Amino acid sequence: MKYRAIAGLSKGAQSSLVLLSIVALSALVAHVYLPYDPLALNIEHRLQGPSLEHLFGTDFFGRDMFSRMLVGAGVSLRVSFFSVVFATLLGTLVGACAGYYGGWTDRLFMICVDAVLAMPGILLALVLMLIIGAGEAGVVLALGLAYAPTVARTVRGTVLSIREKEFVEAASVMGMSSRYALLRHIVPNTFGPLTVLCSSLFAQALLSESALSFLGLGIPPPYPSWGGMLADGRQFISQAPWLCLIPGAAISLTLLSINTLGDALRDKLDPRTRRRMQ
Amino acid sequence: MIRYMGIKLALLLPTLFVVSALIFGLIRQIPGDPAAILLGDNQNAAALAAVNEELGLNDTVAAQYFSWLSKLGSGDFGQSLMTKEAVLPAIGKRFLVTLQVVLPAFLIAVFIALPAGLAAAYYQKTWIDRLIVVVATFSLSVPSFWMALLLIYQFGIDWPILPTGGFVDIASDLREAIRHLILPVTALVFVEIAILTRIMRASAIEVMQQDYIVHARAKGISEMQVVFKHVFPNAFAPSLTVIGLILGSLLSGTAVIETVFGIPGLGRFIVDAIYARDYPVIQGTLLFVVAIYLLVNLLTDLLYPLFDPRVRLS
Repeated sequence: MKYRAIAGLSKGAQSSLVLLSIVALSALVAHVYLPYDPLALNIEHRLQGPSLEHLFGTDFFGRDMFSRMLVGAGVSLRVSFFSVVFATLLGTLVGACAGYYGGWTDRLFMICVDAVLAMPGILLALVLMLIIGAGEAGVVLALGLAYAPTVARTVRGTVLSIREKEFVEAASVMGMSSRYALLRHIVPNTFGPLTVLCSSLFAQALLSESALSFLGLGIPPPYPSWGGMLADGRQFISQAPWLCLIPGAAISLTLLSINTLGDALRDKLDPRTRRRMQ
Repeated sequence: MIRYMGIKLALLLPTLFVVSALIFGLIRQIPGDPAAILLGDNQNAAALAAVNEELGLNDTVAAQYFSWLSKLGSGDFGQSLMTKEAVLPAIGKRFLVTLQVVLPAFLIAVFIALPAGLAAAYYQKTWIDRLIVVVATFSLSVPSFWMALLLIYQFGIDWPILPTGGFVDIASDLREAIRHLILPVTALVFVEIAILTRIMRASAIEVMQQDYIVHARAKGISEMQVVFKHVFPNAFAPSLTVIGLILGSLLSGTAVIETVFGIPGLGRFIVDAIYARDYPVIQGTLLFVVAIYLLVNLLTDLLYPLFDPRVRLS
């Protein structure tokens, strides 16, 4: 079944899957084997172009770019994954309660959600980073909090439409508690729209993480992150353009894969587009 | 219409109130003492206490919030802790800079994305559609700051024909201003066309399957007329919301692009203030940005019935 699902994907989606697997694999490999210490300074070998010895060249401090890219892959994927998980958990909780209980709970939650949504995500994340402190956990919390309202809105909308369905009524007639109905019948029905949203949030989180690191408020240097490496490379763009090319290409290709897979996922899960495809 | 607008504007106030409380609360959570930052190296207990007293930082948070709020009402956003500049005029100055970068980018993006989306929908499943979709997905995936760096490398270093940074005001030297704007505007356009093209394509595809399009064709009107009189107006309305969202987020400053190109706009202003823990500036700018964002969205709501008569303001 699984194999057939993969074979049914378009060429683009299949290559995206391969690309994303490569990124994930390199993140895993970084835990087991690295050609060089990604933090080790080696001033004599600084700003060297790509060679067999240093596949992606070396940066201003002579650190091996290939090793740094491998470690950076893990940082990007980890941070994006956990911030989406955090946003989904928090957003689902808020959205489901608001949608199910309605009334004042709903109004109060939604005022807060709208207030947060009116703030540009990246600026909100910047302020949150200052409060929480730079580092992986900080980025996860900041991005999770910034994205949770979007999740809450989606979940609330779905809950509102499902709450009135007969099977939920049947459940309450059968004497189930409202909390049970919420968990057993309503929340599972939000998974479809949520999956689509999460795939786009994942791409956004990856982009925001690299933007935050690029601005110097994400993963603190010298620890490698793709955005931070791009920012470091900026000063040497005329002497050592690969320092900018490689991390940027990695971010772009990863995002391209996630977006392509997200589109494929939406075509599968969203009945509106499925009808359109036929 | 006017009444509806008044009601909508009034409804923004509670949201702004919640946002202001949220912003104020958040800013106070930032660790670090602004008085200590302000004094720099020559700090001692007495000086710190004096500065704290002067800035009103000794009052309770609630008292500080309400004093800030009542001053806001009279247009007083306070003054920067660092430069002693009044915050509101400083915001205005930066906002003008951001406008000069963002408006051209926004207009160009709209004029590229709408026809592209329409064309992709019209030639659905042909190479034209596939090409447009691929380009749109690419532009969705390339971070603006990387695009900016690639442009800087190509047109500033490899083939140095354009300035790679800085900003010249349009009022002072039009030619130089445009030369300085080309790269940042291109980077922004490239990134912003993605979502708009995709939305326009999706809604145009949906419109083209409607019976009235079949009917219009059956009447024997030209394909041009079908596309521009029937498909485009109906498909445009959903894109309008997205156009509003894009403009709103662009106007709030594009911190990353402004950083790369050294443009003293609103985004850079707020990032600098965040680094410096300049409370009044962070608070004021965030609130200003949110207000702009809400206003742009309100404006889109008001424009909606113009493009989609089925929507009535009520």
